[in-house]
Amino acid sequence: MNHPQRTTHARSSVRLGLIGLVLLAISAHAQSPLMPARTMGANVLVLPANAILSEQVESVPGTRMSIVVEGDFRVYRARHKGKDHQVHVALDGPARRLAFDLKEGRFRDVLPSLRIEMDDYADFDTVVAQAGGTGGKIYEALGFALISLPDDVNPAEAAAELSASRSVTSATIQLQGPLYVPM
Amino acid sequence: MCQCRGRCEDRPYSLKTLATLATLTLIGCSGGGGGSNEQTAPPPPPPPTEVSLTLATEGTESEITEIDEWDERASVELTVALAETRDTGVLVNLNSTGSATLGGDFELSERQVRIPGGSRTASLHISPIRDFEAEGDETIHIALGTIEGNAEAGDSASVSLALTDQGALFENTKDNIYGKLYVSFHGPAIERDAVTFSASVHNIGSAETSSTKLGFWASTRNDFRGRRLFYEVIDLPPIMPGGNFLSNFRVALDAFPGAGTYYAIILTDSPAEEAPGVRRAERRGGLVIQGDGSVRVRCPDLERNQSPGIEDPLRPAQWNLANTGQDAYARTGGIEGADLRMTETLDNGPTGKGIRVAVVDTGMEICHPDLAANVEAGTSFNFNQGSWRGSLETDPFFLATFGDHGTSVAGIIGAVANNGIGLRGVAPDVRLRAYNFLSTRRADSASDSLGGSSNRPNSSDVDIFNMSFGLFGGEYLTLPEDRKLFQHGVRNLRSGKGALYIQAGGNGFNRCNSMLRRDEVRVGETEGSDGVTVTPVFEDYDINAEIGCVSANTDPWRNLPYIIQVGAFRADDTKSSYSSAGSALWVSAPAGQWGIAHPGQITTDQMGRNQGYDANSIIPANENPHGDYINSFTGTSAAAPSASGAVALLLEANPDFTWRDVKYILARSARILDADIDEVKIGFGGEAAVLRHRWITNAAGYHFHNWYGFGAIDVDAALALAATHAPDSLGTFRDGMDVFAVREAVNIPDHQGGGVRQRVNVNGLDDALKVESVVVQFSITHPFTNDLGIYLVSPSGTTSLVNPPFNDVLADNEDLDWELLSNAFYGESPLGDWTLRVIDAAAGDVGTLESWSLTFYLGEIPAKS
Repeated sequence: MNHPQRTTHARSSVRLGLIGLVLLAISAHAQSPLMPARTMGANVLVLPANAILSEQVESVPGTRMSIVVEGDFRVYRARHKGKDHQVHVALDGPARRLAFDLKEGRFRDVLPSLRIEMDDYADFDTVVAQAGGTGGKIYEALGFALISLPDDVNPAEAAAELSASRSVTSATIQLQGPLYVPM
Repeated sequence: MCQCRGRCEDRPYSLKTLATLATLTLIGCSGGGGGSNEQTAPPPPPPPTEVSLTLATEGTESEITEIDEWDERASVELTVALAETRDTGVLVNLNSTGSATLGGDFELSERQVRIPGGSRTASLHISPIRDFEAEGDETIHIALGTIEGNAEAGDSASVSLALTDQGALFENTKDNIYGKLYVSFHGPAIERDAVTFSASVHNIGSAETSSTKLGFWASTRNDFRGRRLFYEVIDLPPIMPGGNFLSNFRVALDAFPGAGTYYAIILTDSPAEEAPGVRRAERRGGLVIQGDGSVRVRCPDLERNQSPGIEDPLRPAQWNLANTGQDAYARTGGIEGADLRMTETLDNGPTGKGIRVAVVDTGMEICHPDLAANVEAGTSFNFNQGSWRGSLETDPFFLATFGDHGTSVAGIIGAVANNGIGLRGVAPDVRLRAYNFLSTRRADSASDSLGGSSNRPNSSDVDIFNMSFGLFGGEYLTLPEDRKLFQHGVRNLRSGKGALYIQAGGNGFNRCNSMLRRDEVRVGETEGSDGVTVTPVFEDYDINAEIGCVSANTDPWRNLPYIIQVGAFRADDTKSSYSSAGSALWVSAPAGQWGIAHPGQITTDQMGRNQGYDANSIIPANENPHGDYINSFTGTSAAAPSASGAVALLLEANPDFTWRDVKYILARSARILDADIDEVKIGFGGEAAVLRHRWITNAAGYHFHNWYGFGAIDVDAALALAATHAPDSLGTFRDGMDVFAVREAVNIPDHQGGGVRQRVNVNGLDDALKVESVVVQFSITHPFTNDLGIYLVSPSGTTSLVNPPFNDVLADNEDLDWELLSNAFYGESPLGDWTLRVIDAAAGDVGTLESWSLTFYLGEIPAKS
């Protein structure tokens, strides 16, 4: 009977990742690694993908965050308006980047993409390259374009960088919407 | 003949006034002339007759003394009787003087009763109003009030009834909130050396779930027995409400023994400690691969003998087209006429020829023998081409073989007619395409699939988008970019006439994922075993079973006026049990009820025996020899494609119709079904609130019900109306430009059926403008918004329940900043005072209506005469 198990490649990567996490550990006293952003009608704090915050960081008044590793999970915790919120991310699971939605009071996934608006899309390819994107698509009729980003690019940082560009009218991160299911 | 001058009827008489009246009459007549000289005084009127009150249970003579507040059948007949008849009518007013509150604890069908001249009796009814409060037994005391006419109170001038209280229900409901897990597959991603299945586990309930296990199996058998190719069980951590957990299961390619069909299942252990009885979550998936690991696209080279010109063999069972009471392979049949009412259209009507319909769904088998001839080559789009090695960009197939939702949706819309196989669609000559939007979570998939893209794919040339999907619901607001996408569709597609967006109205009616307003209620009593002791009898009571769990409005796209929301009905012309209720619904269409006990929808399935849903189908093998069809497709997903098909017929009948013309025609021609649906009225804090309305007829003459919208689509009637309706004749659409706001905060009284009311005056608009839709936005601070019911009342008095109390998606929800759409006011004038009423139906939490506003969508909508 052949019962192959999960390939070991992923597990090895986890261990290496854990070592990396320790090296990247950020002191709570350092500059906040949480990036505020506004997108899709929400004010969010974008969290680092591969860091731990062993002490709770108060990035905005009234909201404290921590990121710790517990067992096979990286656990993101927030205390916001007197309530506790948490999300577990599998260390060997799909790459995820999270943001905390300050209005809804919950963690949300940040998509590896940017939504940008430009007066003239002639320079779109340049902007894609500037963002470190892997590609993009212009929705002329809707007045925006999307840029696809690799997993190792922080969309919040890329958006901040593009926002400073004269050719880009706006650049915003994209949050994963709710799950649409067949009815 | 002596005639009375002035008003003679219904004048209160007493013996004294009657004597005076007799004198006056004599004087009047003597001076009037024209009478006989032998005139004599008329006989004096008889003395007042006595009025009495008696009680009886309806249909019996026996007098009763007790009524149970929870006995829905406990309508007590109150008879008002005269001892003798009188020539003129007698008007009797009734007073309520007991401890039970009229309007809060019980209702009188009339508070004033007229006994016509020549009659002796009239009757009215006393009905208890159910409530959830422990008030103790109360007394209903009805007494005669003022009497107008030749009558006076007799000895039996009052009646009393004991109103038996059934105590408080739902005392601990707010502690009974739980989480619920939902599992979905994404991918799989097929690489050179492995297949990675991505599972996401969502908490669609309202409390954090505790740790449990998540298991994954891959197998060669679809029942997962026998040899397992791969399995793994991992710890599933706690998940917050609205949150999810993602995991990859990477299966080495050499685990698959070769080319073939493989099955995968992911399931969670039951979170029994939080929610006893809640079923574990599971999802089935799989793939079909070639020997080299590339996917085998879902266009196998299968022989299907088509016979052009021969009627489709499953056509007689298709009750959605013509319901004759056939059973459609279920145990019981429906009733004649519970269908799309398209008899004339089937004989000699349009067939949707040339109309482009996009199935925005999980996928579609573009080579299905009953669809292929209608599929427009090269126009579909597969969002997963990059991760499904060997797949094509224009083939939006669904990788798993447990059923492709989109393929089944497509058959209802546009299966080919008269090809000697399978069924026919509602519009069997449409041009189909599909976007497998539900099989991806790419950021660009909505814009690409819903008309915002002109290349890869080009969705800008689509006429009708069928959207048989939705959310589980929640306090979501429409994103500005989503609004812009649909506005683009209705303003610019179809050369500016606007594309038609048609969405399933939701399956949340009995989906209480978070909390149940369920308790035991005493419904009677029996004699104890000792022959003396009375033993109370209890039954489960569930308020959500009557008013629904999740409102159709709890999905942001359902609160946009650009999308037609479709509810579902059964083959017996009643609401399908799952079909969500809400003021955002537009129309209803046939969908059925699972296809086992009652008919479901007959439609196309993934090709092949044991491929697709056909394991659940009970179509005999001789009528479904290859397993390409099912009889059990159900859900509002099955209703939306019938509506899309009907709209395709209208667009063929007149291609110049705008999207608003189509909405108007559907609304005006819809037929009422389930006409006798009763209201659900519950008392809260001594005042009653209606939690489910009867059918209403608004001031413009349109019928509306939150269960059905304007009613069931009537295709023949719609086409008849289309023949006389001038395209683009509904005036300029005022697209949310008119907003009226109230910013004065008011407290919402706790546990009080009357609630708080605030008005806003709408003025300054052209008289010709009528309401197409109205959206109410509101901001409420409240610690438990599941308690809240929200009503909007138009200047004409039309009431629309925009959010029912105990809306399950608001379990444990705090504060609301929300917007909800109502179609109930279609065709009414917006001018005048609009009233927002917010009730708090459960005790223990106090909140404030901070502000609210109305956004109007207006046009020149003719009244329905």
